Amino acid sequence: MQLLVQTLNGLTLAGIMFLVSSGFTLVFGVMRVANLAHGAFYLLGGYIAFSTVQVIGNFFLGVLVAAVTTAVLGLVLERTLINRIRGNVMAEVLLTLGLVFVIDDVALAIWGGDPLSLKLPGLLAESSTLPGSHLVYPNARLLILGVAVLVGLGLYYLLRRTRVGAIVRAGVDDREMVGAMGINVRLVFTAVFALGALLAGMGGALGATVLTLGPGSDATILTFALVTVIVGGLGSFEGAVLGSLIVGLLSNYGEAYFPSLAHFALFAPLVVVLLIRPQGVLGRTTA
Amino acid sequence: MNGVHGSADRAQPARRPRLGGRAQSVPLVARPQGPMLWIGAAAFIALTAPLLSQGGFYGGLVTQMLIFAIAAMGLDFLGGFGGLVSFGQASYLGLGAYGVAVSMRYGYGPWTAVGISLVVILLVALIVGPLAVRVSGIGFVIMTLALGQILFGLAFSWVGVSGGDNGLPILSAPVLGPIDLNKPSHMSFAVLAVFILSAWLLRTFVTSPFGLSLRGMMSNEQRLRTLGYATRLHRYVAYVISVFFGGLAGILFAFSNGLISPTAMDFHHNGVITIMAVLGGLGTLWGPVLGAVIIILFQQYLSIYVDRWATAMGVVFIAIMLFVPEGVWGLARKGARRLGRQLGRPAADGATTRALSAEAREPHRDGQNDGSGDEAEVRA
Amino acid sequence: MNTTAPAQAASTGEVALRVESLGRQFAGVKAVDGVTLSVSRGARLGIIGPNGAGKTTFFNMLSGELKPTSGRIEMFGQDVTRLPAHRRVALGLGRTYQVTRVLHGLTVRENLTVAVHGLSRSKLGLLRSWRAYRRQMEQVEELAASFGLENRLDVLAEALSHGEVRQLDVCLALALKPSILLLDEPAAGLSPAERVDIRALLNRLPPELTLILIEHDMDVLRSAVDEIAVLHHGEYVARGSVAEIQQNELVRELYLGKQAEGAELPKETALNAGTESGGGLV
Repeated sequence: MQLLVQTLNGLTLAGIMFLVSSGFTLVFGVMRVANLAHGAFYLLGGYIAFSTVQVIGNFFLGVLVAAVTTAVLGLVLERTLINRIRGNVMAEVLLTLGLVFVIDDVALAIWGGDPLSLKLPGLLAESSTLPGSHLVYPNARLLILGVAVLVGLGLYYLLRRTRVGAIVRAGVDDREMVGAMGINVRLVFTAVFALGALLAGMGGALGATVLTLGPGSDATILTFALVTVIVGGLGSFEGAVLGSLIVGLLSNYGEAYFPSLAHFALFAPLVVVLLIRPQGVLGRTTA
Repeated sequence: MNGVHGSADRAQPARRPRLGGRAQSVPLVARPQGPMLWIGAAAFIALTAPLLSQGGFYGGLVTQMLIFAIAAMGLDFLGGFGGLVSFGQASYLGLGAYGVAVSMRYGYGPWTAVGISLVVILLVALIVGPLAVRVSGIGFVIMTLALGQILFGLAFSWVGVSGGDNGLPILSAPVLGPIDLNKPSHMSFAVLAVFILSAWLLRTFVTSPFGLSLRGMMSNEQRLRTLGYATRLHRYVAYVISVFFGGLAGILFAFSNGLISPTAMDFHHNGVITIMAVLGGLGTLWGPVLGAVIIILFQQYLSIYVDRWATAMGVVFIAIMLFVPEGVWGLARKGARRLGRQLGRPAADGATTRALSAEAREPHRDGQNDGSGDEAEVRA
Repeated sequence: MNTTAPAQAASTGEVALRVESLGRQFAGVKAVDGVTLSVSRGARLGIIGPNGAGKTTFFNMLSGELKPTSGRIEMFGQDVTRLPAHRRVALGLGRTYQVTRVLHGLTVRENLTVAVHGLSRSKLGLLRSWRAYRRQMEQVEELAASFGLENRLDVLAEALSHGEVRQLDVCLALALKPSILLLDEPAAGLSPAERVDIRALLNRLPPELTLILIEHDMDVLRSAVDEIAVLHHGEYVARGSVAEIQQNELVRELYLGKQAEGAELPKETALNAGTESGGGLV
């Protein structure tokens, strides 16, 4: 029973991780930008959801506001800053690092340095008995799982079944080709960056219900996301799914059974995967 | 290229991982030679020694600068000369410091603690290295950051050993005859001595055949392979050297600071050391020193006068990346060359022929992106 | 095996390189398909074929930069199919690239220094300046002098003319004193004058060197090789002396289509059209 609960907790964690890392991997795959501010977007999303819930009392609205705000922020930052140094890979990375300093500090000014936890209103604060067992499990975590699955399916549909997705995937495979096809690459980049920010913000809003939210959570979640995408394969959407499951489950078991060494639970899959498949489990070689 | 980075490389033909290498390649040759070097070193000592002997706030500040300069130079060895910019240097600085603090906590003397710490640094570098050098370019950034963050997480959560959030105190420093590092001024000069030794060592490394081949690898790794180089081994050795200087700085940090906490190796600090190297200019050993001086001055004074100094710092980082991505040193060199051209004489940076030829360079016809390159990248 | 009597090379009959049903697929497309051939020590073999024939892929497999999907490669009787590129270099394999790969950001002297250290343990040397390695420095000067680059030693590689870059590329490969040299279109993109230089350079190569040369320019081929092998769609379709290949009906068809009967095998321009932008499988 304990193991089952821990597994469910691991899956919840994997759900959050998936939301965050799929955004990171999309941006990386399409733009080749390692967005270090991705964790900061997560943090911001969590804080915004927290405040919205406090004011309005509706969690779903909170998630929506968080997601939209971070998406708009991502859009603006991409257009005004990242756009201007396109192509200088290291400068792009370091610029997003600058963003981390600013966003973290602004968040500190607004929400303070104490860790917060998003208290869910109404039904979401309760627990349900899972069908077919006597297991009582918090509704909030079930919600996270549900949302992660829905977002995953939605992204899958977007990437695999729509024209927009075809363009994005083509961008991952061969960016020059996309340019040659007469598609406005800049627009694609901006949209992808905003989508990435949206996913991070949404992840933050949901994550805040089960993980503590405070200064430093951004770095923690970014670390998880980095390991997830390395394990799954940089730039691979399916890799983000698989990587989140591996990292989410392992780190949750680690946390539960060997709390002081939980971070080795991140290191282990990294070692194993990289020694066997340096490009990540589902990473593609450039064929 | 291998794995993770493969497609990135393909899509960006002539791009190199170095900063500012977008449109032109600034030659990495403006290193002072012979007498210039000695004059520079003497001037440097003449400048720092009085401040260090004076002790107090300024002495401490300069000591701090030198410590971070060592770490940043180590980062530059791999980043500026090998094209692999690490994002985990502060974590190795922390590792070095924790190596000392944890050893002393278990009752070892300061000298033994230094020895243990050095062994730990090398061991971790040797173990982690094979992972890090499997990827290059942006993949390397991500990998080193992830590894660094894992180290940070370990320091944070392994409370039984590391003291967790509160960190560990380092209560006494080594004593060698008349030299007592418990005295701040002695400590400061010890740091200066280690700094000079490190700079000298790194400079030797950079000008060695190994250093030369690192630069070659940054330019075209595949070519190096068909010239007989086991490039991954080279990267590995360079990585271990780079990490070692991070750890060395950490040992000094532990004794001069008297306390090590996980904060010193967190995400922000990892970023800051990278920014130091980049701001000063990758590819010269003076660059990171300059960067360390600027950033630490900035941090100090900004935190005194500005409440939201972190925001200001972030804004400055962003501005640097937008306007001077090649770093201060690169900017100065570009300016010097422009000035030299205007005055109708060779560039003022001592590397006359080379600078000139770089100027005269015709736009390059072959990107390094022919079909064969793509094919080769398919190799796992 | 060698069929024609080599004009200028000292072929001893010992097999330098043997390739057995070597193949490589890219996403199901056969870039090289079951090529079997052998080259004697000291022989000079040209490889021709239309764009996309798999010539460079073939080279990449020989050099170890690309893993074959089938077949095996032997150098001097030793199976090297699984050896990484740098180990093959140690066995005496050198190469150049169609799109030259000299080391930018380094001077000619530095380029050559990297190359001359390539096979000795000194490449891991950390404690002495590379300028302090006397023997290697002399070697660099000699190499540069023998290729007319002695006045360009302190010039950055990217500041060289196209012809000089080609020379430097060959020079880098020769610095390792290879016994088998793979040259990938050494004359591509050169001016007629530079083309003459490269021909002279090829003629000066040590006679015991085994040379395999991808080239479209028949003039270059005529003066540099004894034999030509033809690749088409990744398959090895013909081999013979330069004259035989020029007479070969099949080869003419491949290059010119049937309507061009009687036409002379075209010179560089016609054959080479589009090579510079060559797609992935050239």
